[in-house]
Amino acid sequence: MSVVIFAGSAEFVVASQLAGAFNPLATFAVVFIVNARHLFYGLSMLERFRNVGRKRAYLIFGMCDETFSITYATEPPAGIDRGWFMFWATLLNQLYWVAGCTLGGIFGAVAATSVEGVSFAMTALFVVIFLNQWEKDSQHLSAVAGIACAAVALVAFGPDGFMIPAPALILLAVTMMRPRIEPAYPEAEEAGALGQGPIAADGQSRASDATQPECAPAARRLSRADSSDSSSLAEHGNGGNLA
Amino acid sequence: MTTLQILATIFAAGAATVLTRALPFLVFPDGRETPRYVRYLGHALPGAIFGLLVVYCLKDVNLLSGSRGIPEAVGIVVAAVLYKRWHNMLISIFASTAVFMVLVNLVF
Repeated sequence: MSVVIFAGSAEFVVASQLAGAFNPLATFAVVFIVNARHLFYGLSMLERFRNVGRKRAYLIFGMCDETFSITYATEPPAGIDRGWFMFWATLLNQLYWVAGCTLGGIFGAVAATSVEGVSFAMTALFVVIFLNQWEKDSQHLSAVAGIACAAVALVAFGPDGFMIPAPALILLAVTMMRPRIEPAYPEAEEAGALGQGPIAADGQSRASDATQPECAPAARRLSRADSSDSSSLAEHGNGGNLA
Repeated sequence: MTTLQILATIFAAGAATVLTRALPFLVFPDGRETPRYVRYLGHALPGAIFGLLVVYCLKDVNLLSGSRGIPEAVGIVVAAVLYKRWHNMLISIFASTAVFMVLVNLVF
């Protein structure tokens, strides 16, 4: 399963779907929403993945949270081709993840656990990702809006029908609050300048009071990955490979 | 589910994942600048999406009957406190799941 999907939180979701009734369309929709943030990883990597030749298709398929933070924020060592650097970071992350899942599958089958409550691992996973995102985010309005919109949609549409209207509601809320949220991301314009070419002039002026809120965790992780060999790069990938 | 249905479910999930990763490259081909609004969404949406996912996990909790969501609440508090303390995802997930399992199997 992890070979075909290679997306941590999606695999948790599929595991719970496999326990229920057969509904591939619902699975498709939920997984698409769960992985919707990859849309934005992709947007950030548009420029980086240029001129890497045939590796591009694999880089797109193998994208995950950790791979994104490495390939987006690190400069390859001098003399190393960026395309190959990104390729190996992606591959090692993926191999480690698939190996871990396979071992879990083998030993899980031997242990034969069918105790009630294991599914709470997925809840805990998302709670922890939510907190992680909360800590590195420079504003919390959108996070609060996400919970509020989801709760409203849940009450209005019920547990079986709210996963389609809820993201739409969130997109609407985040779009309407843009004037209040966007100033929290002055470095967005800088990052945009690095990766995307020309930027708006007002972004530059606001960038002056930017520290380095969102890039900081990635940079910290990178310095770890950077200073060691490739095996610890893969290990780093496992630390929270939630892609 | 039959084996065929399991495979279909897994491949549906795989197709959805590949689509999320490839779509930006299809919509914004080489040589065009990403619109500023799209870049804004890239920053603002993740926090909201993770909030939605937490609510998704709790969608079947019934506050009026059964255990009234108490095991879920306790589990979330455990996960959050441990995460604040150690910043280790695996510790938080394993410990809070263990607490939750004890609560639903032995207490409620």
